[in-house]
Amino acid sequence: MNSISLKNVSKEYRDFALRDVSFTVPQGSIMGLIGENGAGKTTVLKLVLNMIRADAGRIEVFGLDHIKNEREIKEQIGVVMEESCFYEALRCKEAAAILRNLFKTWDDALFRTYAERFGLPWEKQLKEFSRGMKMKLSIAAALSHRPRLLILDEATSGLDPVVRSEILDVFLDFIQDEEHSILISSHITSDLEKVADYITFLHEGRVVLSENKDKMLYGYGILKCGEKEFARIAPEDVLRCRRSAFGYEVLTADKNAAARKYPDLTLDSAALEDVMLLMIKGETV
Amino acid sequence: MDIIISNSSGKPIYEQITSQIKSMIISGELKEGDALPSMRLLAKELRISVITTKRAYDDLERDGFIESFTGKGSFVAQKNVEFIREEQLKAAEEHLKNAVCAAKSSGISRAELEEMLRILYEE
Amino acid sequence: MKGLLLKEILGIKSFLKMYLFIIAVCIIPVAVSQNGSFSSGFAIGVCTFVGIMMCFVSFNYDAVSKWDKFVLTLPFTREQIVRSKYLFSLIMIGVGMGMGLAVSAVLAAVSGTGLGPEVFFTMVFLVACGLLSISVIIPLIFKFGVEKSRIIVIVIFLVPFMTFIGLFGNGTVDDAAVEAAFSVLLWLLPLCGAAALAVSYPASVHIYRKKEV
Repeated sequence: MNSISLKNVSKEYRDFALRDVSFTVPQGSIMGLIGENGAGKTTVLKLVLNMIRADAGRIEVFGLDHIKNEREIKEQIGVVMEESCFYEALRCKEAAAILRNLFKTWDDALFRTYAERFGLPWEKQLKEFSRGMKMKLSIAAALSHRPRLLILDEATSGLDPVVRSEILDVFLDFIQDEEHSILISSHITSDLEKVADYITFLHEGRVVLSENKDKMLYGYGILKCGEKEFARIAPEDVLRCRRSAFGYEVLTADKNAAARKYPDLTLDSAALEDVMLLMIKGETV
Repeated sequence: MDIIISNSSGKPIYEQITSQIKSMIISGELKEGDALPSMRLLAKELRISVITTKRAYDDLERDGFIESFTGKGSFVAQKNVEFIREEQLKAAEEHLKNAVCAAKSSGISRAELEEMLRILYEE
Repeated sequence: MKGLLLKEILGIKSFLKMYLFIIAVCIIPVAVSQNGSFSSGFAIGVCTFVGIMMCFVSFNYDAVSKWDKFVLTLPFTREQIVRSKYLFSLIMIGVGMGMGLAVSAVLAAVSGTGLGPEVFFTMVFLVACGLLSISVIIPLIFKFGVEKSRIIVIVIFLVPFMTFIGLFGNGTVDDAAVEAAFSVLLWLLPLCGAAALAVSYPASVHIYRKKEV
């Protein structure tokens, strides 16, 4: 069963277009949506949430049509957008009072627990909160109506490593329930490299790849070689390549095969960031 | 039970998990019928993705070390430890054969090879 | 729905001080200098006007805090979100009027004149103006956002005001004509207000359903 599925979703803007986006978030998993700024990550999330309408394609959440069953679906989703969403003049407890009346399944005690765990001052105005604290408040708010699905837009960007680590812990706690899933967009790939099960990589409004993360991390490899050796590499083994003054970097989709085929070349494992960079900046042959 | 994950070993994380659990089973630290932590809990504690622990458990199950029951969890399989040991022995013999082959082809002496083995074993 | 309204009210709580300040600044000098009757109408007018303006404040807060985006992730239909804005605006007109009435009552008591029947007419007139105003303002904001709407609204409301000044401001019109105009306006305006609301609400829903944020 899939928590989210997008099939051939397109959305046209004057200066940007999302084209033919398809991917699924299986129930019980964390899907990381990566790509550079402006690749279309936020647009995808907004489409799923019906904040904007697709020109074409089909979107399902929990197997239901995301527009026909919008309210039912949204009762079960927790959302964190990049910026804070409450008036700065509100106090934490006032935000709680509002949230209590927004969701049928709101759990006050749970929110209190999160507030304590995150060290959110109950009486303080939100304008006195640091960026990290605001993000933690948003996350506590998104979790306290006990949703089945979390949708997060750049939830860890711009935060220090300690806060990011705390937040990742919360995600890992959340995903302990096999019916829960997370769709999280980020341009910080290292966080997702740790916890994501699947990665969907967007570039210029298109899905470049959507895959099992381990398959990507352990399957993809980077061959490093000079001009002469590069000539020996079969074109079908080259996913992307990048030339520098002193040699080539070649992204290959099957590291083990490359190791057997070119035992004398330097072969590195590819981090998510390397894959992202080479897919964007590299050339095909 | 301790599971230590190295991010710089170059060995895939699921392999690090399987090899450590295997050795715990072979050494008797984990006994037949012992419950293993759930995949999700293990993932959380190691701060890795569920898909990685799932792969590790799938591999362990495939090799007959553990058994998984939906809703109940995973347990150390009722498998003959002797048999496992034998399999490992066979695997070791196979690798040694390769080592001997390589040594012979380049004129490395038995003494040199034994010395190398001794050092490697003690590492 | 209750949550949406609660958010509006808690949100403008910090605006309350400003509200009192505006009332004080506008009313006290007039109250001191004019006779009681005129200031009572004036006080209700100012308070109602501030009430109408609260709908701008609310939309503006939403835009600044990105609530306008967040609200679309919540389990509400777009129509409910629109409805909450209308309800809030109506409540604010009511609250403004209530405050104005209270101020007038105090002024009347102090001057010893008591509230005359003209207070009732003022209120009917203002309710109608309030309904007309929010009926114009809310769909405009949904369509164009707060910033652009502010300018459009100023232009829209300046036209009838200038006409009014043009017609009656030069002093050539006799009292009887003014009297007659008012008696017509007294029943015409509330009717217009109600009609405007009846058109405005579905229009806003229609606009907001198509809105992309």
